[in-house]
This record gives sequence, C-alpha cells and structure tokens, in this order.
Amino acid sequence: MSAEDHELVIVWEHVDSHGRRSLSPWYYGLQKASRARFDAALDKVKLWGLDQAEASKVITPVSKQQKTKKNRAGHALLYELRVHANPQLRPILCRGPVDRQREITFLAPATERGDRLEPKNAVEVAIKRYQEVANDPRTHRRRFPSDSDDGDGGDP
Amino acid sequence: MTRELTADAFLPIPMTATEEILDRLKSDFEDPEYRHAYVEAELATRIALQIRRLRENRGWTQKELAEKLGTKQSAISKLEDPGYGRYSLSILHKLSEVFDVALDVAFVAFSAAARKAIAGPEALSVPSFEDDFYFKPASSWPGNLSLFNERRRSAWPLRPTASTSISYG
Repeated sequence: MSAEDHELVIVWEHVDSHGRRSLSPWYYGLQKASRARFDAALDKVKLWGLDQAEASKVITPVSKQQKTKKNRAGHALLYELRVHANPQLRPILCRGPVDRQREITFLAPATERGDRLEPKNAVEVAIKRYQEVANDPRTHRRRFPSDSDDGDGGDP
Repeated sequence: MTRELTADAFLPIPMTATEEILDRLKSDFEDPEYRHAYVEAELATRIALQIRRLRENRGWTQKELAEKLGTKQSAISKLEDPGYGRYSLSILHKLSEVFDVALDVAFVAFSAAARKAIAGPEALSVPSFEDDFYFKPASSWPGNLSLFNERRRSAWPLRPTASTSISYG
C-alpha cells in the first residue's frame, strides 16, 4: 500500500470537561528543533498507518517499567510516540479508541529520563483520560494540534 | 460542447495524505532550525526502518544479520531503532555489502528531502544485485522484454546504441 493509497491517520487529543487540551500547549511549548522531531515521527505514523508504525517501533507500547499496581489494568492500552530529542519525548497515546486502525488520541505529554517517564504519574493520568475519551469521545477529544497556541489551557 | 458550472465545481479537492503533509512542510521549512531538525530526524528514522525492512525482505533474523556483520544481535536492534540516529558511513557500507545493495549518500535540496519524507514504506524495499532486473540478461525476461527495454531506455535515455546516432546540426 502506498502512502497515497491510504487515508491519513486521524490524530486527536484528549480535552477535559472545560475544553482544555491535553497536548497542544505542551507541543507548542517545545523548542523548535524538538517540535520538528516530533512532527517527523508523527508524519511517519500518519503516512504509514498504525500497524506499520507499531511494527517499526515509531510507536511502542508503554514500557513495562512504567507498570504499577495502580495502573496494571489500563497499562496495556497505552502507547508512546518515540521522539529522539533532548529530553527524549514520549507523549502517551492510544489507538482509537473509536477506530483502532485509523485514529490515535494523544492523552498526556511525557518525557523519558533513565527509563522512567516524567511526570511520574503520566501513565495514571493517561489511563483516566483514556476512559473519558472512550466513554464520551464527542466531548473529550479534538483534532490535534490546535491551529495555534491560542492559550486554551491544558497541562503546564 | 460547453459545461455548465455549478457550485460543486468550486469545492476544494480533498488533499491526499502526502499532499497535506507536503503543504504543511512548505511553510514549516521556512524556518532553518525547523527544517534541519526535521530532515535529520526523518533521515535517522528512515535508515532504521530501511535496515529492518531489508533484513525482513531477505528473511533474516536480527541474529542472522548480526552474524553476517560480525556483531551482536543487540547491535542490530540498536541500528533498527528509529531513535538511534548515530550511523557511521563505515557501518552503512558494511550493511550495503551484506544486503548487496548500493549505498548513496548525497547532499540534496530540501524539496527532495521532503519528497523522500512522504514516501510510503514500500519505497524502502531495495532488490539485491541478484534480483535487480536491470542487470539481468534480456533473455531471462520472457514476456517482459519490451517492458525491460522500456525501463532500460528510461533509465539511460541518452545512451547511444548501435542503431541510434546523434547529429549536431
């Protein structure tokens, strides 16, 4: 299948009940070079489709090292986009949750230091947001990224 | 014959995946820091993915490729990691020998880099010399001879043959 043949993977992000986006403010706050690297990785996901991106390790399941008693049940649903930058960017996402072949939803920003994600509660936060999006996608997701860093809130 | 213009005629044509990304890169690449970082990251990802694809196309495990290169499986795992990005010319040359493909490193315009960035995964597959149709004798292409010759002409359009001549005025 060529890139022209398949439709672009649709990229969403979680929004809270006040409409605050979970990833865009972080994304627009990245240094320019890091944002370029993020875009290069995300473009591969869009062009190649999710199965190919996963097989090629552009997205990977959230590392087992992040698994805790608290998040054991939801842990398996989560992936991270692997962006080689300084620091290493590992925004957490899920496939779907509506269409697991053609959509992803970013749930929480994260970086990696020494095999651990930061912030430390990133996985727990992502699981909670996954459940919100899965239960009510109409309310809890918007297309990513927002058109600009227009100050619509979200993670600091 | 005239064609009636309706409102539909003015609706924008939906962009394909590649057009949408190229369109965005046209404006993002205006910034030098952005375009250099994007191309560097894209190249590192593409090399990693191509090494993996070439290995898989040949039916080799990481361990088998490691043995052919005289290294460890963990080294191959690193080379196939899209986040690795520290390829030396020396290791790329060794890989090209093992895969029996040519290595091409070149400075190119950003437009060419953008076009490479939007290529699908199939663009990473490269035949070994053994499977490269160009170097096969025409007699080994029954039924495809005309296609073979057509491709050969398009690859080397100005190459003179016994039956062609070039006149200069």
